[in-house]
Amino acid sequence: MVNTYGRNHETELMTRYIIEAEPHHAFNFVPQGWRLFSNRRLPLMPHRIKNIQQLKRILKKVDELGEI
Amino acid sequence: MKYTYYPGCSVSATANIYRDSIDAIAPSLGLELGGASTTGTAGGRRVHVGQGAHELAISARNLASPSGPPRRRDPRAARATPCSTRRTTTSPVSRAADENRQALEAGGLTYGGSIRVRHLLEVICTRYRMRGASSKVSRSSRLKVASYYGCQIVRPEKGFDDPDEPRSSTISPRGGRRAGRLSNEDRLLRASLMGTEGDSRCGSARTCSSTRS
Repeated sequence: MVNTYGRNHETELMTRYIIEAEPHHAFNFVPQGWRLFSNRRLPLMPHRIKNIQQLKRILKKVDELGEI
Repeated sequence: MKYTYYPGCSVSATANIYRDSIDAIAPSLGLELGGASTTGTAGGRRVHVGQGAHELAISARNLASPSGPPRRRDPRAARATPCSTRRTTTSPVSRAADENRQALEAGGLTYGGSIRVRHLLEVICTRYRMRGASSKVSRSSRLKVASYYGCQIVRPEKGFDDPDEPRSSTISPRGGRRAGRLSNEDRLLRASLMGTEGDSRCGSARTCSSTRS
């Protein structure tokens, strides 16, 4: 997600986590999610930073160098 | 004063109340906050999944961008952030500056490790308190305030406040640290301070416990 947007998109992060970690209880989170959405706390669209290619080049270099 | 401002990932989503508060008070205090469009995540969540090297590189990039190495003695080199994760990774970034140098160079950046990152609360409570922040408070007599600091803002190794009994946001300089004995005039906000038990505990733990109960 960070590699794509440069920042975390919490709406997508929560959704993917719930579906993967607690798929059988996913609908239990709907009321809480709706309250967050109603209060503008779950934006639908992610925020993309400028110059994401620069970040990708840095992370690629880190992978090449190994653990710091 | 101008600050390069890093809002963190949550401020535009689940923590948008902080954004609203900051937007409301910054003009009154004369805070000029900018430079958020190019800053990426603090990388804190990557530590939890074993990608510490990525976290350091991401934090170093945020400190280096957008204009390369900081200018010494330039107040704009100071950075303010409400993202606690970002602030607590500053020191590791400095220690790993040499290792990060190559990664940053791949992105056309450099970082000298000399920028001090301050939490926005620290900026307001230390720099602006002395400049009469209390006098800009309105409606204070009707406000009842319950402070909540979370578990990262007042960590002992970085703290600008007492980690066990944080009071920076509510006590004025002449108020001292005598918790429970403060008159309204002694408090920065001059508001009624409600119970603060657990105000420095982890919010996610509290949320989890209340959700599961």
